[in-house]
Amino acid sequence: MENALCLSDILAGGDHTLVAAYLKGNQVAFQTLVERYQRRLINYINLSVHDYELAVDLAQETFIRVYRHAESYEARYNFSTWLYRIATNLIIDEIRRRKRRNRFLFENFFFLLSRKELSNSLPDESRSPEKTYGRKEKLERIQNAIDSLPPKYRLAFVLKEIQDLPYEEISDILNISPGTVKSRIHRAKMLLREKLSGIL
Amino acid sequence: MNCKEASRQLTRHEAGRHDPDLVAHLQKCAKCRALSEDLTKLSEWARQLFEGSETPPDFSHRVPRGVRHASARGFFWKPALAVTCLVVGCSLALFWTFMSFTPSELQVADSDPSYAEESPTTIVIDSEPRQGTGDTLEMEEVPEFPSRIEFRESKWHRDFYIRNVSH
Ligand SMILES: [Zn+2]
Repeated sequence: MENALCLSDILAGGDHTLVAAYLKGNQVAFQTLVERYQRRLINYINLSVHDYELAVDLAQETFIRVYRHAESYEARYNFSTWLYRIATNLIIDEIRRRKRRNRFLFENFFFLLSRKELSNSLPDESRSPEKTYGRKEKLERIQNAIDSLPPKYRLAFVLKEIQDLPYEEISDILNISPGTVKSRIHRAKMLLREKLSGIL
Repeated sequence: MNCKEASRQLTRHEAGRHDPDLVAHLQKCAKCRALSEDLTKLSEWARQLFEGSETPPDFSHRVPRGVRHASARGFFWKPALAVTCLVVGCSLALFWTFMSFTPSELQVADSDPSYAEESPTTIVIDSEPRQGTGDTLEMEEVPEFPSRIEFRESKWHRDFYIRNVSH
């Protein structure tokens, strides 16, 4: 009975409690961490690489790394910061791999840094303002527009606007200053507004 | 507050939108009001990208399976790497040993009876120069580990030796 109470306390506890319990050999604690973050993590990776199956694989790889290197986790950071940071490294690796695999395609999709090139990369929604879009179609267009952002803007935008993380945590995840985070999000929003002016 | 400052504040945080300076600017600037409305809609639609996200039903069980699979892969992979390194290392050691027996330069000696006695191996080099080859030496036989190369005596060989080897 006492053990059952302890387990329920652990499972209801914070991330630090779960990591500590897992390090003592409690596999259920690890399972609970996975269930707590799986949806957010798959969503973050999917919106960053725009490939659902790959996102699931990379999320799995992220948790495998947590499983193996949990002892190196520093409790002064949020567990989520550490988790997102591992995932971000995998996303960056994937983007680099794509760049090597198909430099031409990569440049056309992700490295369109100038506003003019970005505007030309997708159909211009602002030219057909009278057209009405269904919810699904709107979401698809917004996802495509996010996908067309350069990776540094895209990751910051997804972490803030979709994952709803605080600036300080995004700063720790991306290893940039909070001021740079704000600046990248500002730039991302202005680019998206320009692209989606016909459907917003 | 100007439009640039207003747009920066609008893209930052919901709480920042209640700033009196920004509110005052929005009241008199239609351009920034339109921006504010668009950014609010963009945020609402972006949130829906999260609400519509899915997780495979068995995902939380995939991770322990993935760990076991990766561990099993590591179990076979590491010994295989060790064996490969051993084989490559032995091959390099053998190659190095073989190379260390090869003289770094050919020792060419004049015909000296004492050398002839000491030399168990003799390389025979063309006794006469070939037509059109000039001063080129061509070996007919190369022993595996030659200890010395000896000329068969001839005037041409002696001249060549004096010209090219003995300085
Ligand atoms: Zn203004």
